[in-house]
Amino acid sequence: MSRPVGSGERSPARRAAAWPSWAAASAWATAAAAGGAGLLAVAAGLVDLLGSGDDTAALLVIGGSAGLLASVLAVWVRPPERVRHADVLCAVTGALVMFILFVAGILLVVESNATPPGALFRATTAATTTAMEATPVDAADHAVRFLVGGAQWMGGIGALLVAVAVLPFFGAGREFADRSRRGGRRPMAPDPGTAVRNLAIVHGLATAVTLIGFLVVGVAPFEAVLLAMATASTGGLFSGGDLDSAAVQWVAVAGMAIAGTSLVVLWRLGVGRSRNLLRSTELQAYLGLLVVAPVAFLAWTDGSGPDGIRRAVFTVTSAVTTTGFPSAPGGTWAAAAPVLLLGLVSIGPMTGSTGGGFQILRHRILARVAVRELLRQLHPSAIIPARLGGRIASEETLARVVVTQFLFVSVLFGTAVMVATAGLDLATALAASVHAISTAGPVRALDGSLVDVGSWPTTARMALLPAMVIGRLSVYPAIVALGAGTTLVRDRVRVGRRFRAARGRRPGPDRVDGCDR
Amino acid sequence: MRIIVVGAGEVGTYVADRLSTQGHDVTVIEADGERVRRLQMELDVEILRGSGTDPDVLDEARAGKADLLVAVTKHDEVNILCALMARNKGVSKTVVRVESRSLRRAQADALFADVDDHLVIDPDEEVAQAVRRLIRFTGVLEYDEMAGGEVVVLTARLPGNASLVGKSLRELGRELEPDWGFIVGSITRREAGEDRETTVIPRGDWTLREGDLLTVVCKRENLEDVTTRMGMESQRSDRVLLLGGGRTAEILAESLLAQGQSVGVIERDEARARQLAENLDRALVYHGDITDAVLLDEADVVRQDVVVAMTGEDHANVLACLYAKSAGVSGGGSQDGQTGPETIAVIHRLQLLDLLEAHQVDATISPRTATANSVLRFVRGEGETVAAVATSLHGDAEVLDFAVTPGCKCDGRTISELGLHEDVLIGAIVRDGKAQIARGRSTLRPRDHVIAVVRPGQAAHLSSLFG
Repeated sequence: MSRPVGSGERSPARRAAAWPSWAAASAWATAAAAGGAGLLAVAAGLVDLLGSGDDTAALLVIGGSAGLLASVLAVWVRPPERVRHADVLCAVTGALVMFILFVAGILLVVESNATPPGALFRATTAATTTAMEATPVDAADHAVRFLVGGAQWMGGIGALLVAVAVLPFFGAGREFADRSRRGGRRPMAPDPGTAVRNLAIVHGLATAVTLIGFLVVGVAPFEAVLLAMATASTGGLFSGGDLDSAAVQWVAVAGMAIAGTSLVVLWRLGVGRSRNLLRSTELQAYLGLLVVAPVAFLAWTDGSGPDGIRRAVFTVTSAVTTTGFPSAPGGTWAAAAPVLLLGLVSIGPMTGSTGGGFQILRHRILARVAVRELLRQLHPSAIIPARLGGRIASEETLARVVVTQFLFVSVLFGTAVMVATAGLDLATALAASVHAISTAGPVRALDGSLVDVGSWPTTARMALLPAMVIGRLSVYPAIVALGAGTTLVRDRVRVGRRFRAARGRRPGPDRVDGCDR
Repeated sequence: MRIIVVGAGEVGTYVADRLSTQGHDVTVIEADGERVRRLQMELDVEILRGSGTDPDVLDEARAGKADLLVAVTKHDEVNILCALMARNKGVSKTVVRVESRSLRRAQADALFADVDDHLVIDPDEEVAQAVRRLIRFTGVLEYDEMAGGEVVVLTARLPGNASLVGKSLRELGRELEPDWGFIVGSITRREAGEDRETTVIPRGDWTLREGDLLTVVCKRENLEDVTTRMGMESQRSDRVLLLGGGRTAEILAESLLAQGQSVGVIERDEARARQLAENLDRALVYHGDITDAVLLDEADVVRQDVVVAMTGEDHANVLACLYAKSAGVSGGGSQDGQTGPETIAVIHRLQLLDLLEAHQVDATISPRTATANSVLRFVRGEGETVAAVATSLHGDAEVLDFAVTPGCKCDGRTISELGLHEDVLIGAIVRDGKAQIARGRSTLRPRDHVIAVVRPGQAAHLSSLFG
């Protein structure tokens, strides 16, 4: 029977050509990681010409190869009709992990005294914008400095990709893309692809504004670029000495505050849709933290006068936004001060920003759930919806946030136990774990002094890596990817079945009733 | 006046009854056969069975000769369509009942943009507004604003602790000199040996007693003074519990929440309760039966300032109010620890009024009278110089708002010169937007608004003075 023309069904040939969802997602993830790393390598190679230029050739070759791989994959993939959400989450996780591995590999090539664990740790802290490492990079090594700075800036973009992919799970994704416009407000874009593009533009503009700010206060152009990338991405990895200047610190404070603000808010401001913006309780909470926390911090430290206020504002903003610029060496603080910073780091900035932490939106949802459950004890017959920003959060969303919190805390304590097992005291292990999963540095001791994680045993540093990756991915995608990976391995290996088959209790996986499948 | 009423529900029936009683030529159009049969026994009006949107039915009702069409079916679209068709047939005045908010927006109003005499009413909104006023003034049975709100008419029963008790109206007048803030318009009381209450327009020698039902006409700025003298308080009720989650309750809850009051709502239908919980931010919505004592306790009925029973079922409303009152008394009362929450019942059968009052339910509201007042004001404005009217659930007096037309019989004369009937009292005069309590020596001028309290049958006589 002939099929009418334009029936809307795909031909068998086209159906056969389309890749499975997981394969396409994996290929795109690899292409994105290779493309990003390649671009970074090429840029670093060109930047290296500012210095010795020794690594330029190697970096251009690596960058070119990675770019070629990315292009081939991008062209080769035959997109399926629909990509499963789980595959998107796995792809995002895979892309970050592969990007880290690519950057670590490049660092091994261009950094003369790099070791594999050291390169991996540095690449992870950069790409996850964790800034935990206090060991400075050789100031003369332009290529490595740019690689690290660029990796953290790309990590910031990765955070935004995660936001678009993950936030719908928490009932907030409609801020970015909402074709149906059921969210009530006009969204940033009609579809996720356009949303990502718009977010990248806003992120780029925020970086440019910060860069101009640093240039205006007299920072050298190359240092200003690195500093702007570290600020806008909330990466905080910067090895220059300019951050000691008061003017630079104030510009950094402004840059960090912008970076910690939801890019949707920045976009609304940019396109003139700022009406009712201050009614956002999340924005109010964020601004409140930035104003109130420095006051408490100042009270618990030895700072005073204009310099003390500036240091307090800088340190607190750095903590709230999870940027983690090293500052205010401490040493004479009351114990409450580093505890406050630890608390601020775990709260984190606004959702939809490049910052890490559990983030204010999820804290608000948890607070709502807690209040609702308490009210239910008093009023069992009451119907109490959890309302967020004027909208009702679905039960599914609430459950996911609670699960995410459980996973967040589980990863936090699991990491702390592993770090402590490597020989560190519990307080330091816990602090490092909080910083790792919140993608914020640097770790502080109870007296406020900075802890040099670079000097820790390799096992302790390696134990922090999964937490950084999971934190950068807002927990959920990483756990989904972990679950998918575990299932894949289990299905392939089937240890139990093979064991039972070997003992003759029942047929093995490849034999049914004694016949080959 | 020739009037067509489309829809003989609670509001339509009541409006038709009131209008026919006042001598208007009323035709009712109703689609439901059973209801038509019942109306034929209850009302002395012409009743047609059919749809108000059917041109043949409208023709049969002689719409071309009608002065007014009142469309009060439960369907907004039907009401609007009826009114538009009636306009095409030459009806000059239309009243439509519209509940949908989307149909009350400017775009919908544009349908009647070139029409002068058009009134949109929403019974739920009217009832919500009436309840809101009663919540504000605890102890007041009815509250009406006249002459653009400059004059307020209160109906309330005088408690034993009121400072007015034991005073004659003459003594009260001396106290209020020189500028009276209020005047007692009517008194309803049961005299010894009589089995029912009678309403009178009082004169100076009347002495006020505990239990008297007073209709008081007062200036807006004297409201606090009046309620205080009547033993009531104008107070902010912080906690309000609404029993029943219909549309009226939702409108009321929205306005109370906007004023920062704490609101609880009990609704039997789970889907509706969920909808309310989503619509009403900060309100606590319970799912359950309002006659369930356990649920009422869970909703902390004892500690509420006001409990409003407003389901569509009178018996449930009555039971819930009685429980709230008794629980309040036995449980230690509300915030002041005395008499439990103020209870307000929305009732549809007026026969229950006595029962509710006997069991100390503080106030009652009938949706049909609340709505009918709006319609009656609109109807009576035509050629009768009456701008507004307030009918009362309690007592047997009407409050009318007349406009003095230039050259009429009362133009330039004092009230004492008018020789008014003993069943008529002119309570207030509003001149250039400023209200004053009327005295015998007050002179009437053109365009004055005169607020009068009258016994039934006196409206036409009074109207002739002003027309």
